[in-house]
Amino acid sequence: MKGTVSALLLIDFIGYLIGNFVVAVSQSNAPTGCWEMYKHDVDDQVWDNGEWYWAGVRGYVRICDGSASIETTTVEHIYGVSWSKGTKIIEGPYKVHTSKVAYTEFEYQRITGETGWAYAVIYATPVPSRTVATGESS
Amino acid sequence: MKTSRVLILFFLLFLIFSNGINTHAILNLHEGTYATYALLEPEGGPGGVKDLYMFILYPEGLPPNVRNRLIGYLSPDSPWVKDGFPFIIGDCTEVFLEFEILKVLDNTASINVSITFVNTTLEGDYRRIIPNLTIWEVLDLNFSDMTYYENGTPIGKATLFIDPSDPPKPGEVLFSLEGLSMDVNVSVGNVTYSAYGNSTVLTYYRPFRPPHIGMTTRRFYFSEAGKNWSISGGGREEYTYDFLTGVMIAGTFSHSTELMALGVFDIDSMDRRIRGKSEDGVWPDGIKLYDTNIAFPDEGDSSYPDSPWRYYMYSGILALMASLLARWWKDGHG
Repeated sequence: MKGTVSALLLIDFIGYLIGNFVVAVSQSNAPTGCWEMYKHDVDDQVWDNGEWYWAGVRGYVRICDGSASIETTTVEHIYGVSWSKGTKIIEGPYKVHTSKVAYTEFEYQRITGETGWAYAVIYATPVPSRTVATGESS
Repeated sequence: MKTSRVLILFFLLFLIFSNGINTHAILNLHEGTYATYALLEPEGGPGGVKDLYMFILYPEGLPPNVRNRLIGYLSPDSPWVKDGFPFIIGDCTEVFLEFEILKVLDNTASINVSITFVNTTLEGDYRRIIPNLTIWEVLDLNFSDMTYYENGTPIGKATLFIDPSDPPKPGEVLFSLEGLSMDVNVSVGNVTYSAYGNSTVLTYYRPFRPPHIGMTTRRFYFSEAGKNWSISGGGREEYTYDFLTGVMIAGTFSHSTELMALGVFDIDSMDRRIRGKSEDGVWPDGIKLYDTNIAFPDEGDSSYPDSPWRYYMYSGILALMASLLARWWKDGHG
């Protein structure tokens, strides 16, 4: 019993040391108050005849001491149209990302000849309520 | 029979020559001529509409005063400042593009071209909204080759105007995209005198009945990446011109000679306010004529000839009648 207690105490103590070590190391890499947030945006549509388009962008935003930047290595641009149904991409796709903005955008043309734009965007900086209704997660 | 042929020939020659001589009269470009094009905010404002209009600036190409002002707006961790990203990305709620002819000398016009972005945010920094960001520059357009020159160096063929009697030819380079490490030339793909077929083209200023001149570019692509950024895109531009004056009435205009000359790499080319077909005609994509003092020749239903073109038409009919009369007389008025 005594042995068990002292073993547990020892493990606790080692845990305490490791904990201190981890905190020290992590602090040297990233200051406290850093956190990450997943952001994504999608613009998609399906029509009655089965035609569809899809534009998306996603990635992580890192926020440290109030300054936010997109982790550009995590950014993915996704796009597609129902090629098999005759839908075409006639301009773009524009795929752009920096540490502040990332977007995917293209112009599609339906088999009826009708054209339109698909557009998905994420920003590093949280946007005010005016544009929150855009489908961008925040 | 011969008389009529000669008459028609003379009439055609007259037409051809008058075209050549009066180029800018036909283009209707004289001092004070202006036109504004717009991408407007949807009615009820931007609520519920995604981030409206994006644009990409090329700071190296901006007029110095604008560049300095813009750099002052950037945050220290701006991709342009920190990562060597060659562009500045912005968004806005409305775009106005304007040209005004300042001076016409012989074969050259000095044209003030300006673009205004309304409620601009740079690089997603919503804490700072610039009510009106205007970029302007005076460009010298040579009418004989419809090319802009800067200190004697050609910088690209006009995309806001064409000479209807001598439009750019397929394959000709219109302009080059700047800011990329490789050269991307945007060249003419197709020129048609029947753009939009029998449809009326609707603009914010007024409808334009057919025919229209259409110019598309060849497909072009660009792609470039740096340590913390990546940009790729491209496509095909489409510009629509008034049939008689050769002034642009609408255009996708994501990229153009005039924009690139101002230091604007790209603007959005969809109109989020109005687009598509209606009973009255077609709303084209991109920027559209919004205001102008150009008296387009086919304007209104006025009964009197209000432009040289009407006289051409009447003189044509007259010549035809004269030739028919001569023929009828010669054939023994039977």
